[in-house]
Amino acid sequence: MLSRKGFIGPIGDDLPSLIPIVTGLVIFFSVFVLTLNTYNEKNVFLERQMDMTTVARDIKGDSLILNWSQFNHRCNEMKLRRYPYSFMIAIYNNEVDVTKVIDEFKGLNLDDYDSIISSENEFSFLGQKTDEGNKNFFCSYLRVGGREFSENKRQYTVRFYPIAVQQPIGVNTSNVNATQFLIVPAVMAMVVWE
Amino acid sequence: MNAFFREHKAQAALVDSLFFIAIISALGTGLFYFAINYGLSSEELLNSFYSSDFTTDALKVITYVNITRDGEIVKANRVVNSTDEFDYLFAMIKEDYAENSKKEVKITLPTQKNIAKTLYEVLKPFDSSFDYAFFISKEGGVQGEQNFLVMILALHKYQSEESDPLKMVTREYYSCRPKFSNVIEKYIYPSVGSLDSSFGRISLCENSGTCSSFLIGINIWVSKSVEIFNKINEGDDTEFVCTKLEGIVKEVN
Repeated sequence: MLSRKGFIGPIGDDLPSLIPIVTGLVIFFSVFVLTLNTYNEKNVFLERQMDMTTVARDIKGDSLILNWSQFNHRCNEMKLRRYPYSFMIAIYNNEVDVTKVIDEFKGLNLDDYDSIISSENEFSFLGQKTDEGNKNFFCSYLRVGGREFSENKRQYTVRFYPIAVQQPIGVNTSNVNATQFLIVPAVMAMVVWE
Repeated sequence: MNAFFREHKAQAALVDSLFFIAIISALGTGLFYFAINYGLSSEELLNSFYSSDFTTDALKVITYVNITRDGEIVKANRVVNSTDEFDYLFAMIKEDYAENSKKEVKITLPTQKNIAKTLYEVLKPFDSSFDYAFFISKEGGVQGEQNFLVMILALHKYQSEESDPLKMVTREYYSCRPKFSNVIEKYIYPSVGSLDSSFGRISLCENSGTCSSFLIGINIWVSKSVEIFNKINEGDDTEFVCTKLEGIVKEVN
C-alpha cells in the first residue's frame, strides 16, 4: 500500500515524462523535414547553376559569335540535351540597361518563338540581316511540362556575359552601298527557371 | 534503497525524458547547422566559375572588337563612314611597341586612351557596379621591378559634396606606371575584398625583330570607396603613379 502512494494510473503516472518525449519528437521531425527541404532546394539551385554555366559556355564558345546561323546552330544543339530546367538566352548591344532585361523576358510568350526571333522592332535584342530576313539573337528552351517564364513564381537565376558579335555594318559611301563585317561588343543575358 | 527507487519511479522516467529531449536538441541543432551550411562551398565555387567566365570573356572581347584608329568603337546597327579605318586594339599596341620599344613610354597616350575607351565600351552595361585594372606586364620580370608596359585603372570617384545624386559618383580612367610589379597584390587585393582576374599571354616584337613575351590581364572588383583609390582620385602620390585620362567617357558618348 505504501508503494502505491500518489499512484494516479498508468497514463497519469507517465504523463510528465510523456510531454518532453512528444515535444522532443516534434522538434526532431520538424528540424528533419526543414533540413530535408533545404537540402533538396539547395541541390536544385546548385544543379541549375551548374547547367546554366554549361549552357552559357557552350553557347558563347570562344566569346565570339560570328553570325546568327552559328548562334542558332549552337542553340538547337542545346535543345537536344533535354535539360530539367527552362532557359532563355538573348544577346543585346552594349547600350542595354541590364536592369530591364528581366522585364523583357517576362513579357515573352515562347509559343511565338518564330515571331520573337524574326521581329525587327518589337524587342531590344541584337538582330542580324540574313537571307531569311532579320533574325534576333534569341534562344529559348522550355522543359517538358515547364511553364512560361512569365508564369514562373519560383526562383530564377539570371546571368550576364560580355560577348563579341560579328555584324554586317553598312558603309556610307557616295555611290556604292557597301557592307563591312566588323566585330562589336555586346552582352549575352541568360535566365534559367524551373 | 530498493524502496526509495520504487517510490521515485515516476521521477526517473521524467529524468529519462529530459535526457531524451537533450539528445534530440543536440541532434536538431546539428541538423539545423547542416541545413544552413550545406552547399555554401559549392555555391561559392559555382559563383567563382561565373566571375571567372565573366572576366575571361571581358578580356577576350577587348581583344576581338574593332575600333577606328582614333579609338571609336563600332556599334551594332550603325552606318559608318567609308573613310573610317578599322583595326584591332592589339594591332595598335603592337605598332606602338615596335616603334617605341627603346623609349621609356612604349605605349603612346592615344593608344592608352583607345584601351580605356575599349574597356569602357565592353563593360558599359556593368559600369555602375565594377572597377577594374587592365594591364600588360613583362612576363618573368624580377619581383619588385617596374614591369608594366601599360596599366589602365578604371575607378569610381565618390564626391559626397555634390548635390546632384547622379553626379556623386563619376567614372575616372587613369594611366598608371607603378613603381613596383606587386602593386596590385599589395594595394588592391587587400582593399577590395574579392577580386576576379583573367590573364593571357601575348608576344610583342621590336622593329629589329626581337620578340618578348608579355602577360595581359584584367582584374575586376565590385566598386567601393577605399583609401588607395581615393588617394589616386585626389591626385595624391601613390606607388601606382597615375595620370588621369581625360574625356574617355565624354568622348565616346
